[in-house]
Amino acid sequence: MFGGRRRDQHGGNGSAPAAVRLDSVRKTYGKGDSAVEALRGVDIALDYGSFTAVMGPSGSGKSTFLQCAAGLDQPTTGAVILDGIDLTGMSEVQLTELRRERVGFIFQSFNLLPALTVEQNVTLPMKLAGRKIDRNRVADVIRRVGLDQRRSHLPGELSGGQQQRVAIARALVSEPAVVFADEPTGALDTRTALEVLDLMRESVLVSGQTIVMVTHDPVAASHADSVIFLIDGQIIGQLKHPTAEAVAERMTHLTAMVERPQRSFSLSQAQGQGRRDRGGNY
Amino acid sequence: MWQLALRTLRYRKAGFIATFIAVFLGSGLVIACAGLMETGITVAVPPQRLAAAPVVVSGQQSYLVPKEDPNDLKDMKTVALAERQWLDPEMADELASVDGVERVVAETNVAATVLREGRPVQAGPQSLGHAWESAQLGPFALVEGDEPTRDRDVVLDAATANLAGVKVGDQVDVVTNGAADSFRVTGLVPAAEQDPQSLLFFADSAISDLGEHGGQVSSFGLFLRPGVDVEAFQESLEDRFAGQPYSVLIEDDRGLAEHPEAVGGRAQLIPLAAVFGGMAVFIAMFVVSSTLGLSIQQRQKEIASLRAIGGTPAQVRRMIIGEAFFVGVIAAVLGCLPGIVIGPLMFELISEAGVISPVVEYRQGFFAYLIGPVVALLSALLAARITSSRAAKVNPVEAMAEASVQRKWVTFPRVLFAVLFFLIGIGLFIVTGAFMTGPVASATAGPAVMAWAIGLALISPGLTKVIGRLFAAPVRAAGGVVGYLANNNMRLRSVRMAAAVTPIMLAVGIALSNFYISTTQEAAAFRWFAEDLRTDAVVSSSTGGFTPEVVDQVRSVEGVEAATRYVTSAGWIDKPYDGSHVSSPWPMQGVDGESAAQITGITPVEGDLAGLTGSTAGLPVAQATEIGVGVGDKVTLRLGDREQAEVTVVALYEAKEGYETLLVSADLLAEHTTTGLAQQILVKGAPGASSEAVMAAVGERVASVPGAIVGDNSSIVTFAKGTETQTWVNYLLVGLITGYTLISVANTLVMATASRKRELGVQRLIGTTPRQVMQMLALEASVVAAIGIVLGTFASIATLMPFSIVVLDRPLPAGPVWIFLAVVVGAFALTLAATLLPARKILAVPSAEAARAAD
Repeated sequence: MFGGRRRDQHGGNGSAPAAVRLDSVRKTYGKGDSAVEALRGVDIALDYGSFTAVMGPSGSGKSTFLQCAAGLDQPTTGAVILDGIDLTGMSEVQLTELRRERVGFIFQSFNLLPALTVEQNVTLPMKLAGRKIDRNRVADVIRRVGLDQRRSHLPGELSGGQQQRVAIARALVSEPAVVFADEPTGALDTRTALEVLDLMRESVLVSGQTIVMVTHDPVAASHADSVIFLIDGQIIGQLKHPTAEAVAERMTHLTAMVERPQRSFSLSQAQGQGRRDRGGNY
Repeated sequence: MWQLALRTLRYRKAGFIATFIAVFLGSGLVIACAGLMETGITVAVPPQRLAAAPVVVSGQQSYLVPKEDPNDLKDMKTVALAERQWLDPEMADELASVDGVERVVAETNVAATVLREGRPVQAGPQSLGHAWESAQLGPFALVEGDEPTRDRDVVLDAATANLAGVKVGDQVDVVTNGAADSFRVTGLVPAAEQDPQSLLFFADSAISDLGEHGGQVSSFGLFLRPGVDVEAFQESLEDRFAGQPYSVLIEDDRGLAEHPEAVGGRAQLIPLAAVFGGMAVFIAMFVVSSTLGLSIQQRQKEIASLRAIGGTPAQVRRMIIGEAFFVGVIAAVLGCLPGIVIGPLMFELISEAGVISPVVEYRQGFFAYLIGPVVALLSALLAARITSSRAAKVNPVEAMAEASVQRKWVTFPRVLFAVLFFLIGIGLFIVTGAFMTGPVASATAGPAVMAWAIGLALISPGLTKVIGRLFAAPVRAAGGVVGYLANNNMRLRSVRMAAAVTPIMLAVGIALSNFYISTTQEAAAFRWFAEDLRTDAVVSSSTGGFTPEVVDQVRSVEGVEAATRYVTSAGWIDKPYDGSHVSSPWPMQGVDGESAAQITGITPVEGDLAGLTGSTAGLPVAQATEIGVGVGDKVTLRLGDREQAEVTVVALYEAKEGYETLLVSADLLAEHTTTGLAQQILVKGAPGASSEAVMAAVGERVASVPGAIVGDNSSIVTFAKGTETQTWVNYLLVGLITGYTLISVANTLVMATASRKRELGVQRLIGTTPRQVMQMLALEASVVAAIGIVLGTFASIATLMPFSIVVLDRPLPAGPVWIFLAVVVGAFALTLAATLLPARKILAVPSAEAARAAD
């Protein structure tokens, strides 16, 4: 339905290639005594066409995971391989060019350019890449997210749910290898959140889009094929074909497990500066 | 990216108003300065009295100052002469014999003023007598009566006759050579309209006795045979005069022969225009950079997401520069409109102040209208280029963060440039203090404030934090909980606060340093040139000068101890070679030896001022030693009219470095001035006599002398007069520049406040009343203003201190305290108004809506 590209680049040491793979990724912020380890050895491979939710309590390293996986930031050690390309040692400009070719983003606060219309916002990644603009494709994507009638509106004239749908269209338009979503429903009410999640799910089912979504919300996570649980910068579990109840239960359990030791050394407080918990169902 | 820039501009119009205004006015100011410069370079003076002659030959009003080795002709300085260079009447024959010349008419000038009931009247700033023969050089055919033929005949222009209340056939009193006599009006010519002045035409045979220079010629008008090409003729005549001090003038240069003083203004006008234009460019760049910086700060998240979805740092840069380009192009081109008005207005003010003669035609041509907008646009783009690196450095990760956190401002280039500019500032401090002497010290002191301002601006976030902490206690004490909130904002958002502090610092620094440089210069000039003059009364002439008899009359007044003629001019010491005054000639003061010692207050180290009669002079001891002459030795002076005079040194005295003057006998100096007479008499009362009594007694005695005005010692024409006009112009320019800065600063502050819409909305939602918000903002604004004033004052002190030490021998600049207070009050008022007025508008919006507003 979204006309996403199928990838069948097999080969390479027998194993099926992953859309994004993290090998022993560690990320440390700061130096010396004030150093904080946000990721402490993450190994994971996410297949093409998969929809993965990343969950964990505040300060578990979810955001850092997303930033490293999406090429927004470089790990301290370890390697990230995105769409078959090793990001290690890439310059800022190389990373930027990689992102605009192979990565799409959906943010919690939409992050549309307020000066541009819906259509111009969706076209922007193509323009940044200096590519010829495929008008049909842009029109198609906008129609699929249901904003056909609003193509020349400014973001300020749209509701939150509509803005997030523009952001989804912007993320999908350049047929990226992976779409990274950072709390995509965090700023939306329950009903609109469901619409947005259905739209994301649809792109995975119909056109095989790969999506990695960081979320707090078990309901949101239940739309994914599988859920990865992060605690203290490490992956400590995975749940296939999740339901909201199962996710919530697991989260409660995990949170209780880490909260006891936290009282003594308060790691997550150090990591979680600036981030607030939002709208969880647990 | 350009399209994105354009869309952003349309969406965020308000955020670019400050940039627009800065470039718009900057363009207008640069156009005006380019116009002033063009005017200074061309010095076009349309002729009036000489308009009928296609070619005019006059003395060359500038002097090529020779070097120690007379054969070294490289980089010689050409300096305007202080007086008119007179020509020999014999030259007429030589000119008449030149190929192509049909007729040569000599023009002569003598000071001549018409009296009405004993009081001088004149139809303009000049009142000159000429030989009737020269009337044909201008549009002055008789409209009534006959030409003057006898010694006491005169033809007046209609305006002067009207002022004097005389008709053809009447007798009229005319002052020439400092004395009045009765003349018969034989005819009238049309009034001088284009360049209003009084014209008196005397019989050709009479003119030589009517003035000191009556027997000489001011310029020759040449009528050419039909068919002779004027420009080719000029060229050939110039070749013929090669190496001789004559000018061959055609077209709009001919007016220079009528107004030789117009050339002198050039030396002041050109640097004035350059300095002023440079300041305008500097401020435009500063403002553009700070407003763009603010706008980048506000759009941090937007820029971060642009980076995340694939915009490279270079693309982000191009977007920011593109924004500045679009605003800049429109603003710079529209800047031509204020340019049309500002240029002529500035010229009018500057010529009124006496920097350049008002007879010079103001020229602001195509070139000015090209250069102004281009320079303004380029400076905006340069500022944008520098500022855009901040946008390019925005981390794409910030697109994810909930709230934009304060960014690290200490970067390597920032520190590097801050250190660099401080070093420049310190360098200028040392150069000013150690190597400069006298008034020229302002040349290095002036730019110093810019270096300090830029350096301080670069580290202003840190300074804002540190100084803000000093103000924390009083703010807390004054504001209670509101003060607590204000302090919090100051601490957490020091980078943003610094954006408001910087322009205030700039305005305060520029205003203080320029105003006090002017007042200090004025005080220094008065102190070193005039303070020594111990005068109780000054008699000034409005009719061309005093004869020596008037001085004798004044001396004989009871209660007068001493009186001297006072003549001022400027020139050089030709022999032995003196390298101390090349580009600016020696100021020369002419006094009568018998009273000089009592009145000048100068006590010679060697010799006696009483010897200042005939061909004599006194020298500052330092220069005398330098050139190896002592009392009794002979030196050759080059006087203001280019004439040489060999004089005997009669006295050596101490003088303040940079403010030295030569004392010359009044007789000698007066002879070599344009009018040939002393314009002032200085009077010192006997011990015990009050100045008022002396003034009254002298006034009674000179009541019969036409045009004599008695005043106190403030009316002395000293060299301070030159700096006085300079000060006036400085006030004007500093006023303009400060105004320009203030407009830009106000816009920056308005923009900074408007950007806090959301933050203020949130505060109100959690229970802060609008009144408390206003109080908090007022406290913050006060602290911002205070920090700006502290830093600006520091920048100006760093500029003013070495300058004051050089010219006044003390670190404290001279000048009234009210300037400082006015600047402080102004800065506070502006900051409060520019913060609170937009805040009131924001508070009118319901708080919930404001809290939702986009950042």
